[in-house]
Amino acid sequence: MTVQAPIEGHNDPLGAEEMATTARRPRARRPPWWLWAAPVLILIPVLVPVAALFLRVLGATESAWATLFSIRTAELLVRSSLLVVLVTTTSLIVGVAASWILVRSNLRWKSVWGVLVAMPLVIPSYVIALSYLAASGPRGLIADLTGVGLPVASGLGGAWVALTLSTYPYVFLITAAALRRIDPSLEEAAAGLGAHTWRAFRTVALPQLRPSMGAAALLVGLYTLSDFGAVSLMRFDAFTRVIYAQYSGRLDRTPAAVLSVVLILIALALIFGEERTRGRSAYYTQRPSRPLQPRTLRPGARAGAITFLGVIVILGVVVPVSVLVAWVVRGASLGMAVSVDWGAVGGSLVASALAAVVASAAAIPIAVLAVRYTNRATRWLERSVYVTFSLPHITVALAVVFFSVNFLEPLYQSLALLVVVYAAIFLAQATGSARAALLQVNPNLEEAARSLGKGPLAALRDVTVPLIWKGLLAGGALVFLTTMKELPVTLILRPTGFSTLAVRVWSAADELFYARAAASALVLLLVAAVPMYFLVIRNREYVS
Amino acid sequence: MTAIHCHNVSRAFDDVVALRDFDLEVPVGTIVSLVGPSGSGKTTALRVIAGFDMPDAGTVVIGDRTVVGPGVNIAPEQRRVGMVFQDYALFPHMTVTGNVGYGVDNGQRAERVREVLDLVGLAEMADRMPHELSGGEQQRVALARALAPEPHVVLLDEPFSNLDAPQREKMRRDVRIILKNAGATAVFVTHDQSEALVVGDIVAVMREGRVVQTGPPHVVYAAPSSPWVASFLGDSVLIEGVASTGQVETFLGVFPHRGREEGPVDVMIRPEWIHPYPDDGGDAFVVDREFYGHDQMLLIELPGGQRVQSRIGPRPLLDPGDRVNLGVDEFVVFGK
Repeated sequence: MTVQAPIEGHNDPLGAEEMATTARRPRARRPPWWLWAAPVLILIPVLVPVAALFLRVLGATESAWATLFSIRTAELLVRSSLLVVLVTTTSLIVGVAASWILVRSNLRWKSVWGVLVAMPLVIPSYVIALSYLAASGPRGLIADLTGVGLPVASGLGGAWVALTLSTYPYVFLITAAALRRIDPSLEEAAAGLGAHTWRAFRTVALPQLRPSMGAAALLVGLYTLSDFGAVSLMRFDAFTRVIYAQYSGRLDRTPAAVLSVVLILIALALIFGEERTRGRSAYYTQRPSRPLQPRTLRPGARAGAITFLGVIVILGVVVPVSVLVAWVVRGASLGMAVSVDWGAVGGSLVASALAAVVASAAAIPIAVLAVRYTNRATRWLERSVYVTFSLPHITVALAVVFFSVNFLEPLYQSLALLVVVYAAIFLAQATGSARAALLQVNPNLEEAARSLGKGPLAALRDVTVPLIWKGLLAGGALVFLTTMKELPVTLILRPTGFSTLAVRVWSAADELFYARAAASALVLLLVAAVPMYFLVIRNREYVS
Repeated sequence: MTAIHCHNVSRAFDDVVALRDFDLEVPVGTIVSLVGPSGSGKTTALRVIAGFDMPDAGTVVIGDRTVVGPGVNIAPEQRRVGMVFQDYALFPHMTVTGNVGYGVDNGQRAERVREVLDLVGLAEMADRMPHELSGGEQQRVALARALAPEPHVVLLDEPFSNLDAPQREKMRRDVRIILKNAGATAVFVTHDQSEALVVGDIVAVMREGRVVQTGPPHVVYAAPSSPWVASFLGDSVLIEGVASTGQVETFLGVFPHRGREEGPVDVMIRPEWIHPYPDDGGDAFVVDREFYGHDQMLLIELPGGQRVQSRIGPRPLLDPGDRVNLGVDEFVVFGK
């Protein structure tokens, strides 16, 4: 399997598993104060505005409360919850099935399948949505080729399909990693007792997978709740779409603020709810003593497995990419302008690269604080990093806008603020990677440097950073990739005249200029594929 | 002159007390073995001296500077204390030269690295990476790295525990010679009493967070301050006795007594202080023999049924059943 690396920042969005395992011997020295500087400087511009948003809503007028208790809010709640439940369910089924086939069966070409199945990770949800919209409907590709007009794939059904395809790779990666850690002798024991394949899976593997499935479900639920691009293109009135409409279409921004607060509260409830239902002991850290013996599939099961994998790869990768290509060709042949907007390419690259650099740099002190100076304060720091990662992006963007308009006028719609917000919301990905790398570094090395006369900064520079360099690069690549795909924060916080590929794709698609949207989307995929490839390659050498 | 002086140092982790009123003096140019069972606070003592851990109370003076005390807390990098870690902690991304030169100022680096590598006998390994070295070589590099910046004192934390037995014996001899040639002051932590006796000029025995006895190896071995120290530092035969003016009565006989104890006492005798003299009419007999090549350990039963151990040279070889008479060279009396 070659697709483990991208999950480093994802597999445990709240870091709870790692927190539980950091009970080390206390290090008595206090961390140097400057270790706190970078994390605080990056998190404050996000967390203070979010807090201010809550205060604003609490102190709001009666109209705010009217918004909150209107029928419309109740409807939103129902629609968003329905979408979350549907997407989480299908995503779990698809992801777990794929991971079991690719970890535990004797299917051939498993590593190729693994890369293909994880591929939708690089495709933003709004690009998948765009491709299904552009294929269906009376003006769609299918109608164009066959003359038969399919109904437009929009609304709840469209959002469900698009978000399932965007999220199952996370479930796949998380549960595949967990399956690999299960001691094979348990399943063998079950087989020895006469359990056949399905029963062994259901009675032995599945219960052991429960904690990782819980983590994956939380991730998918939060992703669905926060998703803006797919639901807005699919014209499904979930929280995020309505918040954006309220924000951009009305002078009174209080309703947008009220709905944002509700959405944040739902997200927090999900996080803490999942945390409470999970026993710490449920996490096993045991490594299997020997390699897993793959199960031999019977011919019928093999055909079924291949069909299943084939269908999800076709739906998640082949359809989106070929629809995009077809629209570009079609647009060009009709004489439409489908040229690449180099300004947007540049904008995407610059913003994502800056975010990756800032997040990786800030991840160094956070990892050091979390791993070397574990105490109450540093645990809270880690926690706020993961909570920031879990906040719906559109609410973060709105909170920052409201705050900066009122208190930080010069920073409003500046590239600096945009980059800091990116870095803050994706900091968890960089931190997860840096932390994992630092856990591999012997703390005596840093003490050796200190006893040789070097101060903490010099020890960090000469010893720690060179040894966690690969982890920092991987985390940076992940942040680069996610920033590239990010939509709502970019839409709301970008400087005037500053464009990115994500913005181009979304606005063209929203106005039904599918050819133009498809061209930008293809470029976006090409650029996003580079860090993905890097992560895969890096992981391969990591394994060997 | 004192290189390190720890005074009344205390340190607790949550509810575990690691050091309590820990006192230690290390004279310049000596090697002090800090020895004690695991959990006795040896490593914490080293970490407090090095500055990686902060005591709850007490002072530590290195050279003529207080590095920790009321209102004082000097950072580890300013203490000029070289550290040799149990796992060596060589920088894996630097060559041997890079490691050894890391703590030396630019100007004298090349020269000093050559000098120290010569001292530890690794001049030809200068360009290797740590993972290309054997365990013993890594150990020497770690020692060279600690010595290179000419520290006030070198601290060694269980430095031989990662080596296999034959290598360990060679390394402890080599390390002692290297430290002596460098004229270094060193504190050497170990839980192995024979290692402590071989390497140290002075042995400090630790128990439950404090030093219970300090002295040259032969003194602490032959004149332990308590039965506990006696049995920790080596095999001992502990028997009961009754002291009165000028003598101690035991089942092994009546010994002259110069101490002040009176009444019931404990008498400690090292097995090598007990001599069996073969005598067919002797009233004791050999129960068992462990033969080690360079010596033999005998288990001998007295007429009263008491058993004692006796360590003698390889000859005469005594067999189980042989009758003997016992003679005792030395003994130590502990008041109850």
